[in-house]
Amino acid sequence: MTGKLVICVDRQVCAGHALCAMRAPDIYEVDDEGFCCSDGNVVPDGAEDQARLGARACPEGAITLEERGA
Amino acid sequence: MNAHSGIPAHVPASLVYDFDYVTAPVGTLQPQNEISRKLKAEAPEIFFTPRNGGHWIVRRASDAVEMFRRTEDFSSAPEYNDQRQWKPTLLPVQADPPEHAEYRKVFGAYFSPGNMRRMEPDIRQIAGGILDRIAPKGGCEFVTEVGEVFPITIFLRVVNAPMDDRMELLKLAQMFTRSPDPQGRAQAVKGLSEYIRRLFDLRRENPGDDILSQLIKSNFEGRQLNRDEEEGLGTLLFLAGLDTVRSAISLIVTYLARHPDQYARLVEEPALIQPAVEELLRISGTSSPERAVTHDLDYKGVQFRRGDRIYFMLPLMSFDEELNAAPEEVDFKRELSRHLIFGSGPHRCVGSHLARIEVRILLEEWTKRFASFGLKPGTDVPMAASTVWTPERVELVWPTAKQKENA
Repeated sequence: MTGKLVICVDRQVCAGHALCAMRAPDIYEVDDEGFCCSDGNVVPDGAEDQARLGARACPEGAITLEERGA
Repeated sequence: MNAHSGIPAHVPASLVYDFDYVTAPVGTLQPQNEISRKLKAEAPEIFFTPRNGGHWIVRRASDAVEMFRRTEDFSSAPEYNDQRQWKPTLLPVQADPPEHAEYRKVFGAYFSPGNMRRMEPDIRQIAGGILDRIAPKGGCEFVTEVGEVFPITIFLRVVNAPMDDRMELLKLAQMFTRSPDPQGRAQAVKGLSEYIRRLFDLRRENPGDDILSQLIKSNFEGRQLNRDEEEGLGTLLFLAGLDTVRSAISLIVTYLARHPDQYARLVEEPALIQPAVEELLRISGTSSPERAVTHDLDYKGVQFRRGDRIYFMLPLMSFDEELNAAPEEVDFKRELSRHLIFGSGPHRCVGSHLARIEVRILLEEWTKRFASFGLKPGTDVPMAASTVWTPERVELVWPTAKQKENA
C-alpha cells in the first residue's frame, strides 16, 4: 500500500469507553476523561490490523480509518 | 410486583409478550444466555410486556446504540417517567443533554482510566485483605463475604467514609435493587440521600481530596451545585457501583467454579486474565437501563407514545450475533469480546474503567491464592428476583494448605 491510513474519530459520538486504547494500546490514546484523542493520527506501517481491531472495538462506531493518497 | 397492567391502546397484540425482567432469572443457571435464547425464539425484537407497570423491551444491540444516542426522543429525565420520580433526582443518570454533560464532568475526570489506574494499589490491598481472611477457612459464601464487601469497601475509600457504615449502606442499596415497586425504591433513595447529606456536611467542615470534596468545589455552569444536586450525584455514586459489581464478580466466580478447566488456564497464565475479564464481563451483564419516550414517534415500524417506558436488556445483547460470532462460546482468546453491559452513548457507565480494574484485580488475587476451587457439593447458585440480576448466594470450597499437608 502506498497510501497512508489515517485515524478519524468522531468526537461527538465517542462516549469514552476507551476500548480502542484497551485493545490497541500502541495505536489509540485516550485523554484525561477517557475520550479518544487519536483523531488525525497516521497508522504506522505494519500496524493496520491493530488499528482496525481498535476501531472495531468501539461500541459507538466512532472510529473510521481513511486511506489518504500517497 | 407481578401486577399485570393493561395493554395501552396503541400497542398491537402482535408486539405483546409477557416477560418480567425482574423475575426472569429465577430458576436459571446462566440467565443472560438462557433468557437471550428464549426471547430470540419467542419474542419480537421490540416488544411490550404488561409486567412491572407495563413497558417496552429492546434486546438488539444496534437498537440500543441508536436509541441511547437519541436523548431528545428517549429521555432519562423523571418528567417523562412516573415510575422514577423519587427524590432526590439521581444525577447524572436522570439528566438529559445539555445539563447531563455538565453534571457528568464532575465524575468523568475523577473516574478516568488514568485516575483509576492510580487506585490499583489500594484496590489490590483491599482485595488481598478480604481474600486473606477467607482463604484459611477452606470455603465461603462468596456474595456476602466477598461480592458485597469488595466494592463497598472501595467506595468507602473513594468517598473517605468510615468502614463501619458498610452494613447500613448495603441494606439501603439492596432495598433499591430488590424492591419490586417504585415506593420501595423511593424509600431506599431517601435513606441513601440522607446518609450522603451527612457525609457532605462533614466534608464541608473538613474538606479533603475525596470525590465528595471535589463535588463541593466543582463548578456547574458557573455556579456551585445546590444541595439537591449534591445529594443526587452522591446517591447515584453509591448505588451505581455496589450491586452491579457485587453481582458481576459473583457471577464470574460462579462461572469459573463451574468450569475448572477455564479457571486452570487463568492460574497457569496470569497474562490471560485481562482479556478473560472482558469475555467474562460479556456473559455477566446485570443492568438493564430505562428510558421514557418524549413524544409520539415511530421507530422501525413500532409506534411509541409519549411516556412509554423502554427497558434495554443489555445483558442479553452480548449474545446478539451482530456483536459476536458464536456468542454462547466463552473464549478468552476472542479477538473482540463485544458487549454493551456498560451501556453506550452519553450515559455510558462512568464507572466502567473502575469496574474492569476491580474485576481484574479480584481475579488476579483470587488466582494467586486458590489453585483450584469449586461450588460446595450439594449446593446450587439460585438467581434472585431483582432489577439488577444477581445470584442469591454462591457457596464455594477449596483445598486449604492444611488439607494439602494431610493429603
